[in-house]
Amino acid sequence: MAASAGQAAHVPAIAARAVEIVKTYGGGPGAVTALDHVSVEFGHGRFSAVMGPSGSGKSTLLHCMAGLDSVDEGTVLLGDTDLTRLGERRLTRLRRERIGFVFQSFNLLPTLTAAENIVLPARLAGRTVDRSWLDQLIDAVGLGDRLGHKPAELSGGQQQRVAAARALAARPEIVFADEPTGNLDSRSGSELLAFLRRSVDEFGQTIVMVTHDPIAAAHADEAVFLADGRVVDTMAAPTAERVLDRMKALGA
Amino acid sequence: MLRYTMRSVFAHKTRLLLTAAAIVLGVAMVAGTFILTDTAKAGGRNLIDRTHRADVTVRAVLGGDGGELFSDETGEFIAVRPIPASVVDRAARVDGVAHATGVIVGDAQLIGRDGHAIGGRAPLGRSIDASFTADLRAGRVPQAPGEIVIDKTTADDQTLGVGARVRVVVSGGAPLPATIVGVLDSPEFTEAVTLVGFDPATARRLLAPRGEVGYIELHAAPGIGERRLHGAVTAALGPGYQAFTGAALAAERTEPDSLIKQILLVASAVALFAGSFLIRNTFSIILAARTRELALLRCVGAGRGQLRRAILLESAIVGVLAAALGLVFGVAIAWLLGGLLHAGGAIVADVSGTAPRISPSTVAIALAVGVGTALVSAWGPARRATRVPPVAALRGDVFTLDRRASRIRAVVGAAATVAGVAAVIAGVLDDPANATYVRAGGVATSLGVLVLGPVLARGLSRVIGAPIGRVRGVVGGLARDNAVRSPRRTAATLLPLVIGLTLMGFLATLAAGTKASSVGGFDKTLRADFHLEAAGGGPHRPRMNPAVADRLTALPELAAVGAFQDIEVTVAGHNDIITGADPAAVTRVLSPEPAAGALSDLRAGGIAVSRSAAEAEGLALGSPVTVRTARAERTLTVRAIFDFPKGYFAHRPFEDYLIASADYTSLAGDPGVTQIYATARQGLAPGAARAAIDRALAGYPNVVITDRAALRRDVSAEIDPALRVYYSLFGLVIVIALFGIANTLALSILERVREIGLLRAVGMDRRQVRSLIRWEAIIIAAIGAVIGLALGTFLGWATTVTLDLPTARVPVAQLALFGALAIGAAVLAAGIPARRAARTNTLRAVTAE
Repeated sequence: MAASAGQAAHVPAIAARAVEIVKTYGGGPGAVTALDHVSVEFGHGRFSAVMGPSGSGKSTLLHCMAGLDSVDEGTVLLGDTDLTRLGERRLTRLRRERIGFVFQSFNLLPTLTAAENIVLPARLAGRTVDRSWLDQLIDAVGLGDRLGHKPAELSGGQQQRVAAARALAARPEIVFADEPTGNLDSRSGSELLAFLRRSVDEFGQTIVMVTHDPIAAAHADEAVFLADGRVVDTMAAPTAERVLDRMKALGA
Repeated sequence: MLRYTMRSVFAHKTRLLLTAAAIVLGVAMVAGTFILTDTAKAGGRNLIDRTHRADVTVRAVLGGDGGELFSDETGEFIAVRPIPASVVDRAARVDGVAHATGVIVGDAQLIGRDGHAIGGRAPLGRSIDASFTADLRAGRVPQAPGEIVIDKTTADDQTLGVGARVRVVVSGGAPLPATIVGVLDSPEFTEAVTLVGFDPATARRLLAPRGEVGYIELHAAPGIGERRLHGAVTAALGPGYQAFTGAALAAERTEPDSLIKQILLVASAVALFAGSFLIRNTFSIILAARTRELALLRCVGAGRGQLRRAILLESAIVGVLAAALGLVFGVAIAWLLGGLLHAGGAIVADVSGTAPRISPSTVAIALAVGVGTALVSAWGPARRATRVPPVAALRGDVFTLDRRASRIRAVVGAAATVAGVAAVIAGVLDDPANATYVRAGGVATSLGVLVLGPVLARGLSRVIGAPIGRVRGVVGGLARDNAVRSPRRTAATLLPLVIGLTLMGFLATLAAGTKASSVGGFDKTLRADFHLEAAGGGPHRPRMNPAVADRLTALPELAAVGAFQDIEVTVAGHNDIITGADPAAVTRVLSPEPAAGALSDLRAGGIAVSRSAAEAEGLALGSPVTVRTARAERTLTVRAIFDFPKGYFAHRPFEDYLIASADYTSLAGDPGVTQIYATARQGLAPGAARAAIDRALAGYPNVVITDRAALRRDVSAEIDPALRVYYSLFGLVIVIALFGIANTLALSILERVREIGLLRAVGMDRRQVRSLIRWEAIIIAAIGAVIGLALGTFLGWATTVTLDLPTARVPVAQLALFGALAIGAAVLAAGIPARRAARTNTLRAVTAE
């Protein structure tokens, strides 16, 4: 905790921020507004959950904030960088240098071993990975003996933990996780969430996780609720019960 | 189900095109061959229809069947043996003959504007009568001594027209002044000849002083058919004469070389064979990608057979479309090859200007080949795809890694390869080389490598990929892994390239051995520094004046001069060429390997015979040999048996039979000299001998002087025209192969959308994606190049040795060039798939379905 506090001194307290962003799919009468003037902030060194029923726009929000998708209106900031002003090439660089990703599935390249997958973004950027940090990470993720295996030889839970390690390997400013436990059984899911929690607590990592699972959201420091493309609520220190109640109220 | 099939075919146009591409080229080659043959025939017929076309043409032969009817070099009718004027009269009196024309042909060379005889095209002196009036482009036919007509091509090249005063060398004699009175554009003469046409009386005086004619053209009286006239003339003239109907000559003349057609069809078959692997591959990939769709159809009740029929129907539709497209490309191929072959003299008519003939049978063949190939190639993938259980629709794992190349495959392939290589080597080491072993071993090796493909691809990818991984970092490493992710698929993609490059490597190695052997033979055998002959060459064997040899002999700058004369004769019962020379001079300009006796033992009444002729005719030292010409018949005694080094053909002063000059003169009665080889005296300044020769021969404008270096180049370049045709054909196989690589890459990118999206999400930029796909192509092409060129070189080397060529050579630079070109072309072929991959939508990839 001391380390993260020390870092916080010269890093803005807000890691990422969306200001009045609008995202519409399609055009004409059939157009769907996925994000309708959404403004949201994710604090540095915090584990945030984005909750909402299917179609609420939570995944779109994550894609827009991670520079994977463009917005029609509004501003997306990562630290001080305005993503909406970046071209394709600089966005790619930003993604590999400042952002980590964990997707719901298909996180790993089937031809690479677990270890190779973890260092892939760094190698794509032509950087070397800090060896001691890597060891610390691998130790935390609990995969020591499986590193030489190909993804097909790993369980779903192990694959997601490799993906999480990959997301953290480059010490990105922020990790976006899109339904990371969506395809996992509850035990594997809680192992992964525990790892994400640890990475926030011990390494000061900032994580934004999209989920529709109240139990997953309960691992976060705060929860943002989306419905019909709008932010409808936020909740500090969410618990599964409170989140579930809130979701029921949203009609999910 | 039919509706589903049609929708499925047309829903994915790119997929459709990619599948069809491989068939299109194969069909195009087959169709192109037939279109070319038909068009060439039609063109030839067209040409023949415009000729004067005698009803019956008669020539005299020395014996046997008289050999070829038309010259390979010039396309003109070959007069084997002169016909006495009395025979023309006899033919004219045959019942049914309206009139008979004795056509006089011979050696007449036009001296061009530069003061030298026109080279490059064969000279033809010929009698031109009033029947050519219709073919005149300008002027009139010759009517008096000193008047000539020339052909349009020569007139255009030399910018000579009616009224121009020129000189003509007849049978090597002193140049005669002449005036051009007309220019002919006659289908009787191809562009390969330079015509000097005289009026019949002058032609007889100049070209046939003994009153003989080359051949007789007969025109039938009204109501008499060609065949009836042919029968009457054959009966009247008796043995020693051959008569041909106009129809028979036209058919013979228009038929493109059957060998060419065979080569084209073999190349097409290779292309289709290579293409079928691509189609099979494409279908496999496409069907794998559609596993869920197919499983869903099974879920909703489609039977296995139903599904299979639907897929096969789909492939048949692709086949039909490909065949149609192939026909279109076939026209282009026919046009290209037609130009190439016409330039090479293999076909008579210039087809580039003729409308292509697409006969119904060509269309039928194209359809059969297209649909057949598609069905055969789709059969296996269709069977495999329809075995998918319905439950697969509910599972997500569409993409499976096929890492394992079966062990049986490895064992069988390795066994065949090892046995094949062993058989080839055993055959090569046998003395003399055992062709049966080499052939069988070559087939076994090729099949073994084919079976071993996936195993080899994996192994080689490690070797080739290792440095790339080191140099290109993570992108190189990923490319290497991707290139052999599915070894069987990679092997199938590679195969056409392997086939194409095997052929190229084989040809290059064989050609290198042939060239090295012929140049080696030349170096070892020919001692002369200069070669002299009359310009043009061709069937009339243009002569030099005998005085040329005398003048050279008198030159102090020359140490030895060997003059050679040759003539077509009947020797030991066959038509062949016999050469006359002064035996003492021969050994000073040439040193063939003596097999028995010595060339210096050759005296009047003797004959020297090549070892191959001696073996074929059962001749030994002392055997009698009968030589017959139109003038005389002599029985000579074998005094020497000689041999030329294997592979040495071009610029041999003589072939199988050599006799002394005195005997030659009595047999041939013609003093003209065909070739002279001369050796410079030692210690002269370079160029001194050449300058002396040029000075001595200033008055002989038809003599072409070639120095040793140029001769050596000629010897080396002798097989180049044939090589160019073969390389072009095999090049098409490589083009097909490149389509295959582009195709497989494009399809694998479609399959890997999510993977590429993931890479993009975690920070691979577009340039890196493009580079990734390009490196995949490079690795695939490099594996193909290594396998193909290695196999081709090995087989080429074995064939060189088996053919008993003394020098086998591996053309390393050329092979490296082929490999580099293949890889470079693969990079180009990967361009579109690479760009497409770079545009992959990151979001679509990372958003779970």
